[in-house]
Amino acid sequence: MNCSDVQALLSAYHDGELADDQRSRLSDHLDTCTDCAKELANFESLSRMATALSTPAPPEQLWNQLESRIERQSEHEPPISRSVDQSRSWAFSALGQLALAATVFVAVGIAWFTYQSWFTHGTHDHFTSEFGQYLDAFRHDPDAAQYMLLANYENQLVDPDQAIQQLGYRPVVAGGLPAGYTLESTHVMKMPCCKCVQSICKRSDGSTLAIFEHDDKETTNWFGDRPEITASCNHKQCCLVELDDQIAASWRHSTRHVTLIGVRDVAEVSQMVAWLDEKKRPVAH
Amino acid sequence: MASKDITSRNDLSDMAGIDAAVLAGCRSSERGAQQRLYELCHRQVYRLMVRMVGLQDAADVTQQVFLQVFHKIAQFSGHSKFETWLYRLATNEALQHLRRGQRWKFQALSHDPMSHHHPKEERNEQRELLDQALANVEPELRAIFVLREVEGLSYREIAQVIEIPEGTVGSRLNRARRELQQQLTDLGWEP
Repeated sequence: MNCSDVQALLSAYHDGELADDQRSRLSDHLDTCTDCAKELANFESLSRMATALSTPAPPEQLWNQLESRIERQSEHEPPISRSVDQSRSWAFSALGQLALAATVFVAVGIAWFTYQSWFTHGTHDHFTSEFGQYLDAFRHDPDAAQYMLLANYENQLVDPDQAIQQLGYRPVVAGGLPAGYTLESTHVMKMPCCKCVQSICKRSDGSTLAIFEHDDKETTNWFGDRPEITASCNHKQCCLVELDDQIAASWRHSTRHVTLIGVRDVAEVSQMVAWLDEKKRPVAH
Repeated sequence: MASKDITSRNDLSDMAGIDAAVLAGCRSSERGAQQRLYELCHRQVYRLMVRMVGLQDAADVTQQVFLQVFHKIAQFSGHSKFETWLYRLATNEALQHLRRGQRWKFQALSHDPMSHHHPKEERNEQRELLDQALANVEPELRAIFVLREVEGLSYREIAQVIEIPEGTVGSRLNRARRELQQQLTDLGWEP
């Protein structure tokens, strides 16, 4: 084991999370390397300091305040049902039944119209607004943006090679990434617009690229009103959105749409397009 | 400080008292069950919030966490431990709070670098210093450090709370510890 290997595993060693053989090899290195041993000693100091931290007890009135907030919230919730007597006397009169039928008919019509309108516009507007927040956060802090996304949408951490069960297709990251990128995580997400698979990839300098993929049948506009341009990247029509010093790019790949967030420049888009086209090509025998 | 201090991890066993009856009562919005759940785990949530968002906002965000818990309790499937689910809600709420207010550095960096240590005050000074340095560490790394070092979660539990692969926890902790170390060194800390 060299210093680089040891440094990468130092927290796991310190926290007792390594298998015995790995632990033993790391111990051997620490016996002879003063730099790595010093780093471990620093981790130990931090742990001692953290163990000594104390926290004041929560304020005694905290439950009372919380209970008031629960009550205020429930006051604003609509009543679940009206009284049984009132509904029974109304429903049993003939006129009442006719009026009830007419009211239900009109109400269903209004509800359907409203639902359609909300579903096509309201939900989508809300989604593009939320996704816009994700794009804004991603530029400054990709980890924070990822937390936001996972908090907002139902998701499942998956092994990309086995995600076909959830998705019905193999994600583009299955089988590896281009040189210079490593896969950090892959999630299947249920978004209001579509079910998609998202992979977080790290470049060798630690920066982040997010790859989204969704079925082509589920069309969606993820970028809201942000100005988009269409450009040819490695002979493929790509939709590009400028996000300060980064780019978001989206294009059709087989029967799916691939969207990249956190791209550095058009050259990187072209590189990813070429990589995917190469993967798609059947292997010559 | 006049108020009684709670020490780390001693009250983790409280959460073992959360049983199916308490959870069922919370699903039915029974106030007694909600209060019982609160009593069993509010210290842990409050402690996490003090480290994540600072003393000033900790009580408010703790309340917000419990409102979320009672609102979303039907979504708790029981496939994971309740503690893991609670820590996930609490961590997300803290991060969203910080994001909303852009108060990622909740304490002003007003502390002068220490030029010397007085033996009797050294322990308290080190605690204050750690709190101050921790406040300057980026929130996601702060969360992972606190979950490990203050809450005592295993890598598997942290992975479930943060929703990252278990294999990534170690590298994130490496980053968190190195950033914290750097912040402490900037404040004059000498290991």
